[in-house]
Amino acid sequence: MKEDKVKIALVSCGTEYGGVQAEFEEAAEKVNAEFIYPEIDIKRLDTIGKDFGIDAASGDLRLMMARAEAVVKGQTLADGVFVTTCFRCAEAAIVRNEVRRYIHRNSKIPVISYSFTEQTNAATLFTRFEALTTIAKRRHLLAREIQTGITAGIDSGSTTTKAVIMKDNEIIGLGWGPTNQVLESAESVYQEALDMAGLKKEDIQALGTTGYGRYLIGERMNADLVQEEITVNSKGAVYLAGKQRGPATVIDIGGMDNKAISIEDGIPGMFTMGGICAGASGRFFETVAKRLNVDITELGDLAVKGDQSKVDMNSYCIVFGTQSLVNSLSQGALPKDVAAAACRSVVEQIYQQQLQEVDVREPVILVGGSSLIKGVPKELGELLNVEVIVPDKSQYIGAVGAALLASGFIDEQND
Amino acid sequence: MVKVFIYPTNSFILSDLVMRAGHEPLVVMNQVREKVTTLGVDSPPMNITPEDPKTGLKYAAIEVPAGVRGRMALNGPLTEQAEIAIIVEGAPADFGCSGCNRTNELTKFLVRDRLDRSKILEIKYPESDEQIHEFVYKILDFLNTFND
Amino acid sequence: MTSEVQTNVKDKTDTSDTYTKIVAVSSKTVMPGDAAMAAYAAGYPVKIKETCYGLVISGDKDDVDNVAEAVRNLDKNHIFIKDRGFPVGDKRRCRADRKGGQRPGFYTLSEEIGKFGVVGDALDIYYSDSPRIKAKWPERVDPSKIEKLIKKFDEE
Repeated sequence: MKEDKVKIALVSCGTEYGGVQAEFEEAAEKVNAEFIYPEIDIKRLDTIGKDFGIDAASGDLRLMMARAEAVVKGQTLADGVFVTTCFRCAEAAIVRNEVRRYIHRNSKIPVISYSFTEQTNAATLFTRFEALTTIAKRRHLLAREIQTGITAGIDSGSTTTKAVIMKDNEIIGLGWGPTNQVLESAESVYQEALDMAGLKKEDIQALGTTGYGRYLIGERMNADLVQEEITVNSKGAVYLAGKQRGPATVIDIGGMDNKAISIEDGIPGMFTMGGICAGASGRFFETVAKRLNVDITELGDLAVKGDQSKVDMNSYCIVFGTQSLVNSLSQGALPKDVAAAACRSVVEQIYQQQLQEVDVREPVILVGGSSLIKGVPKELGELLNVEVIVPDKSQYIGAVGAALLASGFIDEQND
Repeated sequence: MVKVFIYPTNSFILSDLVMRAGHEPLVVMNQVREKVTTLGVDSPPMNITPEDPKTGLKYAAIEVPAGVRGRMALNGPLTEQAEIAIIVEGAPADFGCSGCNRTNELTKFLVRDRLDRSKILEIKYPESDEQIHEFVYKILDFLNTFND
Repeated sequence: MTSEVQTNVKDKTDTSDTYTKIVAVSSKTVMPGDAAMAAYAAGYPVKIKETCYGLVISGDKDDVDNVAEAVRNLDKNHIFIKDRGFPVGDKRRCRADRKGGQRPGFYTLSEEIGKFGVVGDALDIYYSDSPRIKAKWPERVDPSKIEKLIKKFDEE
């Protein structure tokens, strides 16, 4: 039986005129979702500015506020909300952020916010829509808090591939390696994890895949669960941090992009995924470690000894970041200060880009390979003035999340 | 007969009054129609493509949002054809489909920049029945001064 | 409600310039149904859709103009005409296909149609010898007036 389409309320300004409406619709179609446009009373446009609190001059922005209100009040039934406006529009950015907050605070409906350019294509939007529809329609799957049976999870990231074997809520096997050929890398880390667990592929009752390579691996290895990394990583993060109940914010610094996810009871409510430049990702740390002639695993220890304020570093773009790195070293800066400044620069960018799109609620859980660089949680904690939790095995959250969620499929097989 | 730029560009009342006075309203609906029925351009719900924001670069720089430039791809050519203009100030958001205020500012600027002030009627949006009366009289009086 | 709806499937080779006009009726003597009858009676090969406010007419430009003018002549000052970008029944503007929510232009249309009654009265006066109705427009208060008022208040 074909599943009902997921109804995503499109609360937007400029998607038609920006020339991207077709791309949005294509991405929605791919995840079996469709857009709905909440109906509002025309007279509401006159008054919504004052009532909502933003007297926006643009009619379409007022329409966004009115439509958000219709969703929150249940006048329009939506499974999720996509709030989007033109990139570089200040008026729209103010409205977009407040509309996103308003929906999140006043309803249980998952919401994503995004700013587009005419270059935005369906592929860029796909993972976000997939996450939104998963949260909307597969809450039962995401509600799982305990792993059962013997399951495996593979996280095929842009830089590294991770595998985890779990049995009765314990991690019994781990595998890690760089992503070269997606399939071969996955096979290799999977085998590594199986060896550590002392198991064979046939022993695995259910397999979950996530990350950029999830579809290819999922198809070849006949995975039970193939799921985007936003929901899977959230689950893995709160599971490993022991914070499955209540609010949490997960910040995931990946090899190519960063994610900030605001979570309630292990389920993402608001999230953003971005990274215009590799300057604010794990890639930048690799460059820094190489230039400082230290192993990436030693960069963190070096950074915590240093003082970031002694070096002016801008990693907004990886090219500029590398320039400031070279400049500071040539001016006699100490490697430990440079390492600290690199950590600060990356977390500042996450603060400026991702954390503006979600509400930060404690505990803040930092995950992904970069979380192991000790200077990163330190600088993030100082910047946000909160205690940052880095769970044990934080680089494996994707694989752990996939293994945990995959155990839901064992029950289905038994049924 | 003169070509009349109206603002808000989508206003039913303004468009009707201009035609009644025997002139041609330059309206954005015509631009949209051209889009919808032109051969080969076919992306729902409107046939604006990522090419349109690029066309809009003629009127606004790249740092101006895509939605503004896409709208300018439609509005810009209207401003270039205008011989006279009627600009209504203070219209509510629901009068004339003015979705994006940045676009409105730029569109009005282009018209004011091109035309002599005597060719532009700047008029306040009416709030009462009496004001609607004066609104209609003033617009028709203005339009009638351009009759051959 | 819909008398005739054109399909949205447009032949790729069809280069005809379909032209569409909206006719809004705000008359004490002419009902939207009368307007429809007059439109059909005009006898041009156009597509006509009856709506709650009047008609939408699609076809060749001259035919559409003639039909719209014929309808307007029923009560010249109280029937209004506007161009529309999308043909009759266009899927892209149709509420049913857009999964709810008024089509974008609806918001405007509804607001403006509400004013047609008074606009019609103004046109009656404009095109007759009747004296024009005068209106008061709020003027910006001179800040010195406020200053004087505050001083006066202080003195009291």
